Amino acid sequence: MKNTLSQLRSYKKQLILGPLCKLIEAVLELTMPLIMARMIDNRAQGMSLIIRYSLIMLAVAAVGLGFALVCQYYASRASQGFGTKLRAALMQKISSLSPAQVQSFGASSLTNRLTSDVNQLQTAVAMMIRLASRAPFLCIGASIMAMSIDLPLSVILIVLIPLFILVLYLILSRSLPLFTKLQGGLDRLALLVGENLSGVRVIRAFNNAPRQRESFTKSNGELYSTYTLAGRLSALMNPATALIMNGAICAVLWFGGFSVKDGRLTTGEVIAYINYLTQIMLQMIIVSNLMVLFSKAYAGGKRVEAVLQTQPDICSPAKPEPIGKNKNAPAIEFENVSFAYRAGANALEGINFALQGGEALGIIGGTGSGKSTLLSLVDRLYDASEGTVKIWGTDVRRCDLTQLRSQMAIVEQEPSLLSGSIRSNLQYGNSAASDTELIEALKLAQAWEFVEKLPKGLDSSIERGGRNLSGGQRQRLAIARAIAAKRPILMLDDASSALDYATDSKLKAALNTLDCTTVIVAQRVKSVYSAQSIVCLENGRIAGMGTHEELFDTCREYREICDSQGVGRGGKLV
Amino acid sequence: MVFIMNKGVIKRLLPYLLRNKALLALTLLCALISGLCGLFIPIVTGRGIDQMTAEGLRFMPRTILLLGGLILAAVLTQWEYSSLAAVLAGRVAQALREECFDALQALPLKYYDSTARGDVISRFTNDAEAVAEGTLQAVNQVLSGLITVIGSLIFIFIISPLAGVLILIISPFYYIFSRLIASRSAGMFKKQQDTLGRLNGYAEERISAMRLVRAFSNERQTNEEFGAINEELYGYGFKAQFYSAVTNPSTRMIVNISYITVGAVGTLLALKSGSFTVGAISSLIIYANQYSKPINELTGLITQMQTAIAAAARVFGLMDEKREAVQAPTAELSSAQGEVEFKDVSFSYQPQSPLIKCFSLKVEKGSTVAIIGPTGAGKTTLVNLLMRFYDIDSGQILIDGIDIMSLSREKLRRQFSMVLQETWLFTGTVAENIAFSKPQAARDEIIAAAKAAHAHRFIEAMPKGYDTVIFGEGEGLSQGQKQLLTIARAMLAQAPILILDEATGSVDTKTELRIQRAFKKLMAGKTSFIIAHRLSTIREADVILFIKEGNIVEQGTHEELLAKGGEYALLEARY
Repeated sequence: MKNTLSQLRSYKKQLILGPLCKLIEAVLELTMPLIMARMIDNRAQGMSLIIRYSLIMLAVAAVGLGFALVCQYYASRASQGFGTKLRAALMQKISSLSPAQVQSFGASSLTNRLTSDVNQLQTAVAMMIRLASRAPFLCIGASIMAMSIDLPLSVILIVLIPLFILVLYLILSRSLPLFTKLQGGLDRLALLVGENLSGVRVIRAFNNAPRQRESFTKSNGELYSTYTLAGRLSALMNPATALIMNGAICAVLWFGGFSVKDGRLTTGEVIAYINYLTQIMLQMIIVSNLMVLFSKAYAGGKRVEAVLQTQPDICSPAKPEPIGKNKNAPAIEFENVSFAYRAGANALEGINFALQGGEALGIIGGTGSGKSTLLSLVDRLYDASEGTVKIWGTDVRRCDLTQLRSQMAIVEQEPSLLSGSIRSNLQYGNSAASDTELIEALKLAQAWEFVEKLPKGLDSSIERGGRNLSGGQRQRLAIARAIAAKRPILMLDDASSALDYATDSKLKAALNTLDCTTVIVAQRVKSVYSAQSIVCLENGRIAGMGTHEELFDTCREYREICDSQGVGRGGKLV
Repeated sequence: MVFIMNKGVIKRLLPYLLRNKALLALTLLCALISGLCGLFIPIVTGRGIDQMTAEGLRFMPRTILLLGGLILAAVLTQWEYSSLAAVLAGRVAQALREECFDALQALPLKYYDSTARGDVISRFTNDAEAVAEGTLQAVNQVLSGLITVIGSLIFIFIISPLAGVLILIISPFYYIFSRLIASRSAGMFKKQQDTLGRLNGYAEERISAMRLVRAFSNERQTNEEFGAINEELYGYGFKAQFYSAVTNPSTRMIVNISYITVGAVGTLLALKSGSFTVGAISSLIIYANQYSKPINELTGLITQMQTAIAAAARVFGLMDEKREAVQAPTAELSSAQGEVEFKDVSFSYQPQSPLIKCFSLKVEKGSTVAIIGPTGAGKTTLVNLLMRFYDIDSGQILIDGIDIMSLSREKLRRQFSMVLQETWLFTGTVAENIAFSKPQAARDEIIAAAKAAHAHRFIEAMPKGYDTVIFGEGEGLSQGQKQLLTIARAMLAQAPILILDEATGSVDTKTELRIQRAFKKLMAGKTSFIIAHRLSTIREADVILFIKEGNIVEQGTHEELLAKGGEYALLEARY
């Protein structure tokens, strides 16, 4: 919990002064009955005394209120501040994790940790400041007072307290795993709802809503049974504490009765003793409730800590080398690169190629041949299992990550657009881009023609994931975004697959006018055949490399792809 | 503390609790017994103390036995009702989630296309949880608190009616004070819960699009934007927390004032008349404390209750979204022949920009219709209308001469097998993902469909073959492979009409050719709609529609359109 709790560091003042104020309030509250007793005892002195004592009590109560308010203020500041800092730290950590790491947590689970788990931690901090000092103080104070009345009778107390701790332990050790399970169940439910949101068309098209409903009901039912089981266990806490303490009162009555008979104790002392026991019981109930709250928070804290503890598996080296020292080095170079996803065979094997600056490289190959994987090794979404990937002559693993990624702009196959406006999306890679630059980029990406027609132009709103746009429009905006970023290397991962041919060829012509190194991954020969060099992949290996004509003549796989698309040696339809 | 919250929400929430009448009655009973036992324990204890004399000690075992019985009864019933409270709270949350999900399923696609996912999810998780927690505390504390308050008041009246009246005079101040503060904090709680939803939405979107954030090194901007919402949440959270936290100490002040008043008045009475004893003063003070203690504790619950109410309002908000209109079907259609007709169909997503205007088309059964046209021309919209993801604004769409509006959506959709542009896979095994279109399909059928979609080979190469679990986006699966899985899904469905919306856009052309052969077998005798931009995939269609800005600009076979020398021919030439 080290990383989680370290977020409390800047709230030292509140954490110390808050409970202290509460303590003072408790002490003031305890003096009230003493003043009251004084007033009753000295009532013979008349009216003026009653008024004086009443006013003193009122003043004590008012001062107590002041201290309590200060404590509440500190508790609110510290708990909400702690939660806010923790969320910020979590988000920062999440955005440094690699996609594989994000996926192994699950996006919905991470989101839950950010909100629901942090909420619980934040409540725990507030309660700690507000109650954690007062209850033990009153508990210990009352115990000392009880012991000072009669030591032999306090054997009961000595038996009692370990018993209470044992019960507390038994209940908590059983309910703690349940709380963790509960959060896990919540994650599953969130995942399910998320899937139902993203897959609504498919679900409805296949009339699968009833089945989705069923699996939701099942998940929801499991969540319910975990919740009630945890609830039943926690509900045991108060009655168990009450049982122990009331049992103690019975014992005091029994043994105390003999002491009174023997004249060792007075009845008044027994009453006082029982009063202290009652006070201890009340405070212990508060403590046990706090423990339930803390154990819930602990379950959440562990989940938060798991994220904070994760070391990003891909990060900048301690001493990054500058990029582009060697002016003559190739823009991108693969040396004997192999790569495998976590569980599975090599997705890429023995990849060797070099792309000179300013040139265009085409990558073509069948479904699942490793084209996209290859690109993700360049911007270090993944690290090669073997071999080296170099950019401008520097091993990508020796580069500062931000610097490395600022060398290139990638357009994904299924581009993500973020909710906002067209402008905010286009400026994503270059927040300083002016409208003129954005429109220029839109024109190059063949997107201006439809953006221009929108009533609000660049200010038109984009819904989550660009759902209010067609697939082709999304792709073109993503290309425009990459162009607007003005990076030396442009990588298109089958980025025009949803475009019709006319638009696609206009796009291709426009891209040729750009002054940058380009990597184009594509299905269509037409998309790559004008590139200086084409890499043809087959099952993760390079089947051939060269110009269109060279490959057409020598590479069987490439030839087959051409044949399937009716493309001849000259690049024209046969 | 019901009085200081949104009455509408509470009125709506109450039936969820009342639904479990027997359970609620049992909870009440247990709370009552436990509360009564609790009130009697001090009296019996007092009797025990009185018996601490030489002759009284004889009765002590009987007293302790009675006390033990009372304690046991109190403890057991307390456990029972706290447990039942958890069950009730769990049921309320469960029912709310179920109904929310029902509502979600009944909402039109428009809602899905325009709402932040994380915000919707937050209603199922954070908000439902807050309601459960609020219910738990309400049942647990309010019930037992109420019994203690009423019980002590009765005891006070028995001892001294005057003191009872005095206490009743002071009581309204609790109400006034709580209300004063709560009215301020209620708004903050709503803002807090809304901002939390927004934060959830933002985080969910960014975490899902982490690839993009990474690619443009936008981690810092993301953290800053998140930070801004986070700070806003802090502002509201702090205010909500503090305002409501003021309530408890303030009402305690009133408790103290009543304590002082009762004490002073009692002392004065004792001073003036000898019949009012010191013992009576002390009893009065004890009961006054006992009476006000639960009230004070209840005000401490306000925070939780207000959060719960604000959360419930959001849950109900989702339930109240306008649902898809459901008309009782007036026609039946078990398995269509496949004749499809669009008659003067007009449609727009936004009223101000009409997309499809008076679109008419007649498709004979068994024919293949290819739809081609520039991106954004409304090709996918036709599918949306045909399958009633969206309803047309005017005109008619007929299948076998039956207006699709007169069919139930389920019946209508059963007529189609479709492959969409976007691949959607869910967390589950490969086999489950394929069988999504036909849950009862046997393993053999699934494998046959996968083979037809040319997915069999790579599935076999996965760690556990067909039983490999696909997580979320499907790490390690290429876009093309995902598409093959969705094609296998459609192959399995075997419905009379086939819709392929850019079905093979991400599949390599070699595989595509093979899949097309499989489709051709599948399409034999069936009406099919193919949306494509690869001309090669549509050449053999019976009719090709060239669509531009929501209208058919050219229509005919491949040869006819070439001969016409229009837009299609231009496209073909460029190709």
